[in-house]
Amino acid sequence: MRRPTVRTLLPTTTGLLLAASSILLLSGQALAHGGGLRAAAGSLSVPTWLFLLTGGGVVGASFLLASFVTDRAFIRAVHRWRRVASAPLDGVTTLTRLLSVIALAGVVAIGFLGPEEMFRNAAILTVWVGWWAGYVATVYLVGNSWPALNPWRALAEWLPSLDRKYPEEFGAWPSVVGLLVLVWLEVVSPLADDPRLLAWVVVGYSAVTLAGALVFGPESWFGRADPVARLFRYYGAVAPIQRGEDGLAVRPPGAALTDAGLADGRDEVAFVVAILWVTTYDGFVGTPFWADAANWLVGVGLPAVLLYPLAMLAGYGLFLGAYWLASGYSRKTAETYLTPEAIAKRFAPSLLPIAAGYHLAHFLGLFVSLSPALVAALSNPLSPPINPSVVVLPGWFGMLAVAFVLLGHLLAVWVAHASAYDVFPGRLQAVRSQYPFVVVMVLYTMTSLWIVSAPSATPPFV
Amino acid sequence: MSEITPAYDTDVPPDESPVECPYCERPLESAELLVLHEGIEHWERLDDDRREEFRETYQDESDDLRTFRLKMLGLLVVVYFAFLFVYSIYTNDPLSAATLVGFGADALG
Repeated sequence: MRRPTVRTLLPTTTGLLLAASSILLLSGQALAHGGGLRAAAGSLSVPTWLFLLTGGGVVGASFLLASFVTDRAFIRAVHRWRRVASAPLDGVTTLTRLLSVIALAGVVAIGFLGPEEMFRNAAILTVWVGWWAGYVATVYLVGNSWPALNPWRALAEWLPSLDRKYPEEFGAWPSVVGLLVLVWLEVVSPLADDPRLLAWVVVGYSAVTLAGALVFGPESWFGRADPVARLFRYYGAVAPIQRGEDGLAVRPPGAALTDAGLADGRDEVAFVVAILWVTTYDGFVGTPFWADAANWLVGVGLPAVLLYPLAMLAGYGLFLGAYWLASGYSRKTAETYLTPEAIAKRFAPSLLPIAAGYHLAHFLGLFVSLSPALVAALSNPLSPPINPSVVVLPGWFGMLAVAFVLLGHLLAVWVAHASAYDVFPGRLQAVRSQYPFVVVMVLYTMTSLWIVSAPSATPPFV
Repeated sequence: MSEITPAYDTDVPPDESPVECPYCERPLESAELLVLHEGIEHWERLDDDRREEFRETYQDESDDLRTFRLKMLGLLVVVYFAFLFVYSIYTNDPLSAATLVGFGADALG
């Protein structure tokens, strides 16, 4: 998707109006992937390879530092710490769901009827700025409130259901496919620029979701097959507020990720890896490397229409393969009898803080700078102001993005460390089980930093 | 020290003879690991002798860890100085945090 970058949104002179830059944006000149991160890495004062090596070095060093924490009682105390508050949620939930159904109807209506300019259309701004940038961040920073908001679930529960049995062998695979398809669609279509298209996609997604919930019942559909509900469930596991059987509990961020059973099966591991991959894919197709590779591939006769789906699948296969390979090697380095599958399932949730870190790095700048436009558009959806104001981000904002990426990695290393202590009786064994994962994480960090430090290019053939 | 242990799938190579936890049947790779596993997961069900054995094994393990941590510290120092050295070649002022803050600021300026 050609998301406006922070850099393109920053007027170089204070008098520059957004109208001018939005013309630029719409003409495809300045459309680019990523956000503050790419802007931050755009003009490095050190060579790129050193920038990449430093990122990898920080992750490796954080593993070394985590291995110094060898007191079982301390690790356990940190992760078992929780405060519980019982809150009457059911009454509130009815109200929030009602409001979100109204919001869903509003997004579709404004998408079809509102102004066609992206920065003035309340549907575009609500979905991308309010929901995808802002709301998703609250899910991993505060808690997963999606079950209380999910408008499709609300509608499905008000409607009758055939309650067919959900085929067990499908597992979480429909959600994996759904996530890959949604991100592919976002990359190849002007979903963030064209309100009419966005409205159609929302209608299409609603039809598929409601049909699924109608056939299999809301519980199994949103629990197993729906990619959005699953994405929020996993992002929500990073957050400090967790909903347990005894009410709302406050835990240290990431502590819930060390609980066993969050990713239970190859399908759920595949979904976690897919979250990480789609973040990377979104950035990767905006690099000049991809533009060259895509031109070459089409030059040797690959149909352009297959380009993006093939890249999506090939990269996903590579990520999944690397993760399973690491799990296999972990069995060797830890000298354990646990199967690679048991290891893969236990450590998959530790990848989630990395995804959350990248999300925040990419979207916080977008959210902050476009919030006034969102408010302006919402206050008068059918005829919003011609030139909505934007917040000009200060210079240190790009640094903040790099910090979020690193914080995500540090939390991931710590979560993996704590999980390893939980799984393995030997503490040295626990540390050794992490060697292959650290190698994969360092490589992944360097790949991501390479993507964000590459100059942005317009993805070809879309 | 909970009694509820998540069951992990295990796969023992045919030529090895594992010790098995008498409480949860998890196969373990050595007698020491079994003692540690019992002490961590099944503390309430152990008798005093076995608990004492756990304390000793845990202490032995802590001694091993001390050596291990020293190696890790050595590695960390090597990594730190390697980076310092490389940065001293590529930047004028390697110790300054301005190297890092600099690219953020002038990229957005």
